[in-house]
Amino acid sequence: MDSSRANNFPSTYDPTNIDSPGFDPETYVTKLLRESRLTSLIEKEQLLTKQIKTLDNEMQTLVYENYNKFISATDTIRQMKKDFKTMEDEMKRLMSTMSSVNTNNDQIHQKLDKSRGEIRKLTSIHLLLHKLQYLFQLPTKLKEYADDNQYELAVNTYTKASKALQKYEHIPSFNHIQQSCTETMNVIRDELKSRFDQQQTASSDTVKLLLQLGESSDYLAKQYLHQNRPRLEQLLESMKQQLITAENQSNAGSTNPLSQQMHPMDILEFIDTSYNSYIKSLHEFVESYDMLFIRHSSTISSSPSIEDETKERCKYYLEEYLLECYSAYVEFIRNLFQSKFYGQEDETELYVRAIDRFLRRSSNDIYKYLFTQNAIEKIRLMLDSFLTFAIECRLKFYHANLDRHFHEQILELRKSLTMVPPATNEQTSFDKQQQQQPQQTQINLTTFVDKMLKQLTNDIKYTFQNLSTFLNGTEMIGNTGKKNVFTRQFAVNHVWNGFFLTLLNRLIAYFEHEYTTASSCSATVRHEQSSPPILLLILSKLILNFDSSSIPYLCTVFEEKFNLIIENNQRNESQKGGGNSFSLDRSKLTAIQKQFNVIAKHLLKQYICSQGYTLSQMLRKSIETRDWLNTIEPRHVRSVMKRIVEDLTQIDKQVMMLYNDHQSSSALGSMSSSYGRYHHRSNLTGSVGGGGGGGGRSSDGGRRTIIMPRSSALDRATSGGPGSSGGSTGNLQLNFHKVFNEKLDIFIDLQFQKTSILSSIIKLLLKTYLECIRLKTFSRYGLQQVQVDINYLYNYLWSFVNNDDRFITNLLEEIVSSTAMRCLDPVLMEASVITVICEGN
Amino acid sequence: MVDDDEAPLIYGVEFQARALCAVSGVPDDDTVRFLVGTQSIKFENQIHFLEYEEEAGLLNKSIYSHRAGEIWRMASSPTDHRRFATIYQNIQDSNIVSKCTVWQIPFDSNTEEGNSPTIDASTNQLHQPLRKRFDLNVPNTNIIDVEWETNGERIASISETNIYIWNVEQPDTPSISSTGAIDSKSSAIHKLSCCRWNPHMSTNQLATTLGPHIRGWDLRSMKPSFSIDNAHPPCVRDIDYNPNRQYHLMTCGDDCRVKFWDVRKTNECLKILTDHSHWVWSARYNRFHDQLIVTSSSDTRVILFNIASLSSEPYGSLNTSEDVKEETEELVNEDRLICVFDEHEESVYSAQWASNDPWLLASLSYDGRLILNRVPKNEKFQILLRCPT
Repeated sequence: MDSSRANNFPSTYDPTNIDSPGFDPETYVTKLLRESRLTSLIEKEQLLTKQIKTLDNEMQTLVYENYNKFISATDTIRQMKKDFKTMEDEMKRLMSTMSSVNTNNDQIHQKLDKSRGEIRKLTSIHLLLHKLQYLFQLPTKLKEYADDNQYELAVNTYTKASKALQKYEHIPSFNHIQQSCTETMNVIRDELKSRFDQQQTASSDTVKLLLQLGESSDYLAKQYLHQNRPRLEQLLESMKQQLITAENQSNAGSTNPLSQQMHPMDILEFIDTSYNSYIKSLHEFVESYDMLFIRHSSTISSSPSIEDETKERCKYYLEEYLLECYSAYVEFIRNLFQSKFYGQEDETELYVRAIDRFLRRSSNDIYKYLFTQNAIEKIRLMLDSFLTFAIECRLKFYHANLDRHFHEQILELRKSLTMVPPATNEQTSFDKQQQQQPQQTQINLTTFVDKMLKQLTNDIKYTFQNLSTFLNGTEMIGNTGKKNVFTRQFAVNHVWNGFFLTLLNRLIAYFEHEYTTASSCSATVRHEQSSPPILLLILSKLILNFDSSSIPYLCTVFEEKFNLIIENNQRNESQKGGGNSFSLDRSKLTAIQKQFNVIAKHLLKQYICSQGYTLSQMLRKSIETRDWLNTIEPRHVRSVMKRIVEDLTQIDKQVMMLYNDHQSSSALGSMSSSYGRYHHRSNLTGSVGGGGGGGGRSSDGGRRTIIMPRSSALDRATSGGPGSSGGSTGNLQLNFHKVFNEKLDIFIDLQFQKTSILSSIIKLLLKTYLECIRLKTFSRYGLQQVQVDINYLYNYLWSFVNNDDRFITNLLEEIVSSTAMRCLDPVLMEASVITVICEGN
Repeated sequence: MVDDDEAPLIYGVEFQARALCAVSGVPDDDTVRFLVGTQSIKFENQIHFLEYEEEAGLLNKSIYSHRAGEIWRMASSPTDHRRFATIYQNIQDSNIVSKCTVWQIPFDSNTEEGNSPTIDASTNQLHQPLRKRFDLNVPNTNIIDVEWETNGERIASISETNIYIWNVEQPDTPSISSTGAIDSKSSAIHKLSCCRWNPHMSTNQLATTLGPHIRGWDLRSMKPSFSIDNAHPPCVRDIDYNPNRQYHLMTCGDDCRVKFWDVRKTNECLKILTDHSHWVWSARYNRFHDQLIVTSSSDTRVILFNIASLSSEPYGSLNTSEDVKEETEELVNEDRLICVFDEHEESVYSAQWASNDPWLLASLSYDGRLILNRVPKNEKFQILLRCPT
């Protein structure tokens, strides 16, 4: 690269090149001398001299041409100088003539000025005279006007003149004029004022005149507003009247079909008309007030600050007034929504639209006439509170509706239950007719529950649906802010808390109050339940189903309708803000659900108690009234036992209809499973009883076991001397036995299952049996009778509790043992005989 | 130390037993005594006279044979701690006969056995017989219940239909001072089963149970003074008068409830306790602090309640000395269940407060287990702190 440039460079700045700028003659010559031969040197010299000569010649011609051009230029400049001098002379002449014109002009002006001043003075004097004449005439003129009732003219003229009069007050004659003027004007003012005060409805003209007369705008504004009040109130009153008539009509409508035809306006129409009449007239009035007191500028000369002040005050009055009027109106609208007729509007959409319409119109109009933030805020608050009020009204309405439906249903249920004579009623004799009753009830019970549940669920769902129309119809209600916020607030505060949870709580309270004695710490003695036990059973199932199926279903409905998600806990607090679906805390609901569960359990307990009580009473009477010391040898099972078993079968059927065990799909399955349990049980008693009389003695191949008193009890009863070791070991054995038996607790973990319910009833029954037995003393046959009865019971009882018959065996054994101990002559009956007797029945 | 105090003391009687009563009548003696009577058809029945040694935590027993029959109820004399009355049954001509006799514990044996508490029941079969003082029987009637007047001058006993008031001021020569009978209409349906003296109104009132009803008697005229109908259907088991509020009484029965009444207003009860799951057989006010109530039931449980709202003791507003205490008292004032004694395995037919220790109570279950329990310490302190004395 460098080399190439080095090669190039010498070509342009070659000192040996004669045409290049870096030409160096000496190097050139030395180069020539060094490189060329003589001949070529000579040639070169000749060439060079020739070239030098031609160059000289060219130079000479160039110099000559340029010289010629320079000379012609100097000639032109000289010519120009001469022309400018003539122009200067002419300009000087023009100036001199102009100055002479000026001086002439001045002279003319001076001459005319004097006369002009005189003319001006004369005209002013003339005007003044005119004015004075006007002033002198003013009092009489004003009087004339006043007499003619042309107050407007009078006021106008007076206001024109009053300024001048004020100005020349110090001159006596003028003063006099002014006095007379003010006198007449005062008369006029008084006249106007009295007229204004007397008038029912103030006319804006009078006010205008009074204002011009400098009457205090405060007083006037107040008076004006005040006077307009009755007119508005009258309007409101007439609307109220309308409302009352509508309500009366609706009340009479049920009795009188004719009035139905003159159907009053619906709520939307009513709101429209009322709004038109009231608010429009209010606004017209406000418009005129605005013109009078606020927009016009006062004629009375006063400092702008004072004027502003009075205007502000007027504004303030107006606002106060408006607020009052609006609140009166909103109050009326509230009444409207609360009224029997309109508040009970069935169509929610209409209702919602009415609310919407009202809010939209009022919020649009209000902002036109209210000035301060404060007042707007107040109105907004008013409207907001109205909105919540309207919603609450609706909620109340729904609550009442639901309550009514529910109570009707319960009444209906009660009625239908009394129509079907309850099969387990205590004192009814058992005849064929009643045998057929179960068939009837069998169909009914579940359908009752389903029907009620459906109705209740549908009612709530329907209400949800209706409430969701609030969201659809109320795009405009969003004066609370963005629509989303409203939606959320509405859904959470009103629908969820205000409606759903309140409803559930009310249901709970209702059930608690009506059907459970759990709350019976109250001072009044509640006598035995008037409600039939079946009702309790049905209701408990109803509550349970409602809790387990309806509430989740309703929750999903709610979620869908309101685009909310019911959350399990609070952890999604942060999410609440973002996302288009909001979450809602579930904890309250779960608490309520728990309560439902508790109530259902309470009702079930109530049912168990009342059924157990009925059965126990029967048993108890049969034991107490019998003389157990003097009975004959048992040949039959006592009829009470049969009766009890029959009743239990009824109860079993009832309960079965509502509470099915999960595994008891077929009676067959339970049968086969119970066989196995039998074997197990007989083994158990065998081991505990020490192979005494109790165990597996059976008549037909271990299929059935006979309940016998525990050997220990029998030992004590038969053998041994007083206080002997036999007694104490017997005691030991007795207690030993108890260690393995769970303590009897009737309601211990009561479950919503047929088995659990029935075993509770049976426990109650057997416990009563035991306690009654212990209060009696038995002879041999008494004991044997009890044995027969107990074994009869045992043969049937296990079928009711396919799950767990151990406790029954225990209790029955306990009963027989207790009987044996209370027996004077404890000789047991042969197991085979017992079997025969039991089966013989 | 605390554990020893709180732990229940269990004593076994070898027969089934229903009858338990606290012994009083020894002034200036703070030994706690109880009497237990057994109920056995076959064997000779016994009376266990139990003395509780608080220092040693021991129960000294003296056993006496009660040969007359099986004991259903007992009542001890309020003035003489060795005297008591029993209701007992035996069979005569295949009929049950129920009688009442007042017995006395033999003098000599009392001291002897007190000195040697280690007498074993198994080695010494023949217990000393009781000394019979007198019978309180009326021919051809079964005596169901007996109760001493609080000053020991009179004894009330009831048959199924009649009330007999005995004057026992003359030693060993009782005489019927007055009798009363329920009207024949109600006697056809229900029987009298239990009686209690009213400790107030110069002990001229007796309350009896009549099936599910309660009847009060004015002993001066032997006429009914008040009646509570259907107090506990189907049967009332026990009555107790509030020792300090003369119109208040407490009842319990087969509806598994305990109810409080004001006898001036018998159409509604003041309060209901529903904590038992089976028949409630006895309910007793504590003699010293009538907010303490013990109930026993055939659901094998004994429950101790604090019913401050119906107590005669002030509601804590009296001593406003310390703020902290006041706050705790506010919480304490509610009526509540203090504790459940569930050491019994069998139906508990009787529970009684000790007559001279406000914090000790005994309960007796059908299998012969007697358990002595104490009121929990914190409860005791709360009551003592509130008590003005």
